[in-house]
Amino acid sequence: MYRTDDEMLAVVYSRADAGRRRTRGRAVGAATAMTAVLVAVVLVVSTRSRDARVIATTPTATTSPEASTSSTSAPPPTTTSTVTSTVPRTKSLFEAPPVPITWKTIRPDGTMSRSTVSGIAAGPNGFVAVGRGVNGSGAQSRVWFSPDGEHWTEPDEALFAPLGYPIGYPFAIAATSERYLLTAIGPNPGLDGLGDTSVFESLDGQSWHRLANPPNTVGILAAGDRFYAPNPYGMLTSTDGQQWLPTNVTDREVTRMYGEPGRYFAQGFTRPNDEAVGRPVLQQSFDGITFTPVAGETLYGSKVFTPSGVVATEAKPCFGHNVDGPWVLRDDCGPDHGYFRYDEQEDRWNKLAQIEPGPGFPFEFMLAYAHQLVRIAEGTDARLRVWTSTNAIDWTPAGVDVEMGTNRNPAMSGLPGYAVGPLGIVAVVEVTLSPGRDEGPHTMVVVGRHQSNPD
Amino acid sequence: VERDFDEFFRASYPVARSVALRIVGSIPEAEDVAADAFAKALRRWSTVGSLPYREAWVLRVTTNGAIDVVRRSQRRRSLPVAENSSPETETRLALVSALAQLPRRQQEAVVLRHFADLTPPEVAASLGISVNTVKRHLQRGLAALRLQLDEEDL
Repeated sequence: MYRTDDEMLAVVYSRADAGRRRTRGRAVGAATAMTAVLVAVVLVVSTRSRDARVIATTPTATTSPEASTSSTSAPPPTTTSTVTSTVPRTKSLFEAPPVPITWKTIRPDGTMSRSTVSGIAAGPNGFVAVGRGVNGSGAQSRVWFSPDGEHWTEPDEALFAPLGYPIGYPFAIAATSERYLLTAIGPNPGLDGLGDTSVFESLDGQSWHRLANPPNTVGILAAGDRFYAPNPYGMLTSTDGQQWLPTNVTDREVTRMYGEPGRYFAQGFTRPNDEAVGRPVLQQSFDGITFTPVAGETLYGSKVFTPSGVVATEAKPCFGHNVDGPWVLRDDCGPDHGYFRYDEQEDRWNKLAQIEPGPGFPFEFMLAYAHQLVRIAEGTDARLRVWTSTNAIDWTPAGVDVEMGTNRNPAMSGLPGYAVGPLGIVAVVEVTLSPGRDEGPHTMVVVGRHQSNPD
Repeated sequence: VERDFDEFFRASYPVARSVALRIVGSIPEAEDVAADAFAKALRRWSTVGSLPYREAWVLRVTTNGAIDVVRRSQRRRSLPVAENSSPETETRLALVSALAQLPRRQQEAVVLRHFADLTPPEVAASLGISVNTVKRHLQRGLAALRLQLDEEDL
């Protein structure tokens, strides 16, 4: 038999009082009935606190590359740190030597630090991030702009505020070298999520206008010089945000796009014959409209374009997806993480190096910048680290080590987005430290910029 | 402050209790875990109360608290599972044990989607991430669970 909400509310106030050693009058009324419960709760809370401290200060015993770098010297996440990373040039995938990258870990000014960032893109004029934050009495959707990844402003709060929480859920943002597009989902998205979408365009990342005829989409993606608007039934593409053409992707749900002008990869799922278990699929296109499946081993991780070919990271296909029902998984999952290079002639992926399996499945992505590969990963020890490499085999720690919170800490943490462009790399990090170490969750930004012009 | 918190509690507590119940399998323990989560929220209400994802926050606290309860229970019994436990209990304990091994984001996405029965867009709104990101976390999280549980279906 459940206790009533009123009884439980009294318990909650009592426990909060016990934790803060404060006196609240309303706890008195429930004190008699809850005395035994309170004693037990105080003991439990005390035990949990001790457990949390022990875990927070005990190094993780692991042989994974993620743990091979020092974590004890990490900068406090509320301060700014700067390091410079260089990589050796051996068996490089790049035609030019790598340019050293200077890394900064900063806590952005303004509202961004205290908001939830859901996406970021690098465009012609700088970086644009989208998300939700609190303003006055309510939360609302937000858009931030930065010319360098370090200094962030809100260009047009009034335009987006009416779309914000609680009526909408977060924006998606994408950019080409010419413009930015973002999507906002309103209060009535419908079962397929297509019922209430707005699309906004900007040429400079600061002045926005709503498109009169937005594509039928649940989000926005970009690859090379093209935007892509995926939906449960197919995918549209456009170079200018105005004219949208259907691609031949009709039975797949695309979740990521990778590309450069003249070469595009669409990564998503397919469900042939309406089978319950979706299959991950990777398709490629040379015109951005007609896609054909990439044969051989389909990789689900990041795709990076290098002068020596397309390089991918992560595992064999093992994920299942059912749009309408419960999730089911395929049988061929395995911890076979690695780095792979696409063989154009053989139409297959050749393994370059193995990623040693670590605890759990760290969230990671890989990108190319300043004639080198950059790997940014969140370990299961809740630390964000960065490595660089020219060959996807030998990886050098970049000196970036951001404490994101402990695994046992239930508050927000993660990697909501990253962007790379001529102006640099920006990775957004959600940080929540243990109670007492900080006032709560906040956003940090890791910025990487080459020290000199790589071209 | 109290009025705001009380409204939040009455709206969110049944969900949190339900999530906890599906993990710990016992009403008293579920109530205890959920109450503990709300007490933590109340102690930090000046911060938590203004979060756009405050319900998700308390659900995540509940989830972690429930997992801790199961872990402690397993340690006490020197298990993996007790000899007299039912198949359902064994499955739940195995699932919770595997769930606890996931990175936080995956854990949160799986719990909110499959324990709290939120739709992917609702999970996205709760976590402040895109629907596609939610799906990726679910894919990875369920893949990891499948590997650990080695069962036909979740």
